Amino acid sequence: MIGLEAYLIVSSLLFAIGIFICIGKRNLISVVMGIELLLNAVNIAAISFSRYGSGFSDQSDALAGHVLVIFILTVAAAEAAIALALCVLVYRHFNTINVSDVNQLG
Amino acid sequence: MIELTAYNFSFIMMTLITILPALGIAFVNSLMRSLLLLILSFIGVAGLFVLLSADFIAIAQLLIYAGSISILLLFAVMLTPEISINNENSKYFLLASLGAILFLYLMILLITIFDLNQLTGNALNKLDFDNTIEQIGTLLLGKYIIAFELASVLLLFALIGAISIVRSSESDFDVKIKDSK
Repeated sequence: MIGLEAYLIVSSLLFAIGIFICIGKRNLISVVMGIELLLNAVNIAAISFSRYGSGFSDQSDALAGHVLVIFILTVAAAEAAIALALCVLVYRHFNTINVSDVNQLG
Repeated sequence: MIELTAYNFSFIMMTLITILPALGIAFVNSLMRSLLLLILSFIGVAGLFVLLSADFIAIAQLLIYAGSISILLLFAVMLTPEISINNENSKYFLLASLGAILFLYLMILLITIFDLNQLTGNALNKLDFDNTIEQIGTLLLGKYIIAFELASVLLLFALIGAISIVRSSESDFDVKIKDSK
């Protein structure tokens, strides 16, 4: 029987891979991809708790996880736009998007 | 061993479609290929949402993640010239894998402490609806109206900010126009 536990394990696997990509990559765009994976993992966890959770005091609270995911989607879209604009800006300024080489303010 | 019903089979397939491309991003050396793998992973997550009976979220995931965010990433990859399109691991490879494995270990420890499989989703089963769209709409424009409005303001600011960050300064623009004349 596939239940909440299986979905949570998939979610934490995806989150662990996201952490690995965020820390272990030298390209700024890859780091942004890692952040998107992290957000996706959180989405899976929220939706699966919303699906399998019980004992909400208010009936309509059963879909609160879906609303949370919609807000995460909104913030992810905004974050992707800003992050990629910053990538382009960093490339123009430093001629590289290697994270370790971007170490000066001026 | 789990029995192979249609639901379990779809769950295993969607998990593989989600996890394997995500692992591929970590080990493929071309940034373009890792981006395509990321899109595949997003589609797998959408499939998991369908299995969790979240129809609207699955469609939104396909439209927003697999549609627009991946196109944004594609633009960013194609705007940075070829020299920087490598996807190698940094010198923190060991630290990163250690952190990921430690996180996974802690999470599995935490998940197995509680008897989570006793939760069967009674609350959602009782609600009895055809699709979730109406319920989500009622929640968004009722209980969560302030967060909804704030999210719209956030999106507006983010888009204006992204445009004003990448736009080159106005004097540069004037010079370019004069040069072209």
